Amino acid sequence: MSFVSGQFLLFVAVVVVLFYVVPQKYKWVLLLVASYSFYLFGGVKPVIFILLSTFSTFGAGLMMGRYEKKQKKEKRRILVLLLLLNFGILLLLKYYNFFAENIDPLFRTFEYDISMPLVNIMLPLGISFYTFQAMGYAIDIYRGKYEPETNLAHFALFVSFFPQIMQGPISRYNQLAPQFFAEHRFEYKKVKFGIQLMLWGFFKKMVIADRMAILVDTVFPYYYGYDGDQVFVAMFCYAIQIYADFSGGIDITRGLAGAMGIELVQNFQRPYFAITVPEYWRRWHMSLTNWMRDYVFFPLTLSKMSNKLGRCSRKKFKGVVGRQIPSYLPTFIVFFLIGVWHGASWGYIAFGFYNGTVIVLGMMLKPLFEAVNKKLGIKEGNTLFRIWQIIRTFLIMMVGKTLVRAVSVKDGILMTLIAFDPARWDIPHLPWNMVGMGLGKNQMLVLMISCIIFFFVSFLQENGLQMRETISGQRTRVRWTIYLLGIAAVLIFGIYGPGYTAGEFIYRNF
Amino acid sequence: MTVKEKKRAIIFVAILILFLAYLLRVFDLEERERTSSFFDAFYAEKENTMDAVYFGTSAANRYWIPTKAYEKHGMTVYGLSTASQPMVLIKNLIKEVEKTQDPQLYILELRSSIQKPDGFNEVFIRRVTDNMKMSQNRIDAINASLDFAAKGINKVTQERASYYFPFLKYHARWDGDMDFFDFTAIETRTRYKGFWTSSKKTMRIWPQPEVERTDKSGCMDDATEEVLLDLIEFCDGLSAEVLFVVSPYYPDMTQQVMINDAAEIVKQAGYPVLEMNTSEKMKEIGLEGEKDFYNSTHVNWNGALKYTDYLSEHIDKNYDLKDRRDDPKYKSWDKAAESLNKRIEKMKSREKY
Repeated sequence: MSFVSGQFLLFVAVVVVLFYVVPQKYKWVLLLVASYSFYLFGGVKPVIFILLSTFSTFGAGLMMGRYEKKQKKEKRRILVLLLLLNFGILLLLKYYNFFAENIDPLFRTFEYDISMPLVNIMLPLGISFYTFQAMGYAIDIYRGKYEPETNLAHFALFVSFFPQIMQGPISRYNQLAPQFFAEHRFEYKKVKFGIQLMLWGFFKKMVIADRMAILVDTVFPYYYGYDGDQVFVAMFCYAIQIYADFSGGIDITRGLAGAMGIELVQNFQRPYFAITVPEYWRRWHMSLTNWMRDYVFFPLTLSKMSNKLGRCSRKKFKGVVGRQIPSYLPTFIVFFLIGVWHGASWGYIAFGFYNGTVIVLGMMLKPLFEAVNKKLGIKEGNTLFRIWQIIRTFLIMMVGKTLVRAVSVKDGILMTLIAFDPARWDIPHLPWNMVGMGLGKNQMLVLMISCIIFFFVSFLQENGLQMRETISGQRTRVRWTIYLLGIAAVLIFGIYGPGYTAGEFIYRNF
Repeated sequence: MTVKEKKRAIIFVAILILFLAYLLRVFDLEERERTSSFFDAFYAEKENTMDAVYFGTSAANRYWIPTKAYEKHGMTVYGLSTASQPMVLIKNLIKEVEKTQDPQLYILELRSSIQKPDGFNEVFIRRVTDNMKMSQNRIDAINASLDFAAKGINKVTQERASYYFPFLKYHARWDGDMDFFDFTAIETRTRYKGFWTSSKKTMRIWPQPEVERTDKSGCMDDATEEVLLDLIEFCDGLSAEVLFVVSPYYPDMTQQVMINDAAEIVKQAGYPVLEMNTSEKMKEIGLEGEKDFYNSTHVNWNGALKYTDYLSEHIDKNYDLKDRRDDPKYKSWDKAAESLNKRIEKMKSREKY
């Protein structure tokens, strides 16, 4: 069931109304039934996988909970088995076919006539999200962070909670689960704020992202026929599209949960205002980055091997580099994994490498950059310099995303070369040439105005303004005008209905 | 939730509903035929004021001048026909009529029997269903027409939801298909009780060469025949009488044969068919290809006058419809007649026509 459908809105309306009607002690049961009903819309088979994850993690959690703190070996054995099973399923369903398709030519190169069989199972909805969420819980239990859940149904709700099943955020058990069982009385403000956030999400998704998708889908496959500036615009649009799409989806998710009094973790903090790539990743898909930090980066950097490497590097290299060397590899691994987490293709692998390399290079060259800045007299916090840093970070990420979206990695590289080749730019004719990029004049105008609104709101938020609180503080007629205009904008300018194919959320496929 | 909040929420929801209703009106089907004005006018008619209702394609609303029949005989025969009106929808249109009217007679034009599912067009359906009020009957009408269309090669049935909720389709009209008048969302009603006029066509004379006429019948499409049989079965259950008509025009041989086939089926079912598409009947009506048509398929004003005169005479002789001319309940018909006469005078006075 797509978030952008009447079916979904009806489902949500029924669930939210029922949520406030049923007695407190049955609210979580309603959410569980709703979550599995929602999941069943995608077919029966995927339910088997989510059940498998739920049962195995719940059982492993209970077993680990029975061991004393000192019995680490036994707990570790259970955890490793659980991780192998769950990540094994994920690898098999998401990555195996890619591996098999790419290993076959390798065999043939060495004259082995081996053909790996392909797995013909549809990727279950949200498998990357719920697997990471469940495994986060298991690692926390292993670490003794909290006691294991003893009620299977309670745990099943944590894994399958329907608003976040499609595209996250990846929640933590101790943050999310208690909210299911806390008292939830109807609160006008919460419901209102939830609906407002959903509306904003629909605006980003339907008015901006899906409109940009038309342009991106037109230019990306045939980039070689366009001028450099047009390719640049398409790359720029894709960077905005994926952000509006994903953050729009998250807003719908958080708004829906919020309307029921359940607060989901933030997943975005205006990433395109970041001044460095690491900061960008601290603002983009935060729940995944935080997951990677807590469950991959820290264990790697705190491992015995890393300590040894640290001691060794500090002896051999002086200064910052000596201190940083132990974190290079974990950093690279984390960002490579983040790239690969998104999907099985060379594009994602390239994206992972690209991110890892850019970040590690950034760490290595940081002293050099600082020295250059000092020599040029650029002070920390200088506004112009900050704007330059924001643009630079955006451009770096724009290129990285192009590697994924382009037809192939090679095409992504070629597109980047074309886009950044001044000789291929034809700025004076760009306004006319834009018409050949899939969107007419009026559509382009709507897109630009929508993007200005998006930027303006993001800018205000970046400067600490709480939009919903601010709107609430306005006079009734101002507030209502904003709401009605928002609804009208989505209904009129949204991309949906015959003639348009309502786009799937990009992150739904991850 | 405080009482104040409750009140505000209710007021906001009410405003929102009104606002959405406005948007639905602004972003509705916009087409040259102005079909919405025919339906708006129909829904605005006083209850039980239609003696008869005439359904059909443009072969009905260009031919039948309800106000002229009223002026001459006092009968109120309303025209609820739309260009290319699918036969499959007539059943639902009759049901729609019977919600507010109690006609003695239904007149059904048979030219729609030449429609095959393959040639079916989305707008044929939408002209009717988009303009019907939301009800189970409207949903049934959509389903019936889409099921019929599904038998053809056109992808008319795609995006079924947009037939139930036309806004899904028309919200995109902002992109170059709207003008200021759309935003006023003013409901326009045809003033002529279902007669269609056009400043370019109504007074135009386009001489038509005679075509070979035949009384052979056959080759009616299976799906269309099924619809016709279903319509006949439905008519059997009506308390009103039903008259099938074939309006005169210059069809090709295939169309004649198909219409003759449909007429045969109707006759076999025991219903009267007034076939006016023969050379003899056209002479009897007084229709002349030289001056009474604006194209090969439609009569102009002169032709419509002759056709209406003939058909109203036939109805007056064969059906016991009352004379409503002195009844104050039917004043709107006098007004309609006056309006149409003025419009025609205006058209005539324009030199270029």
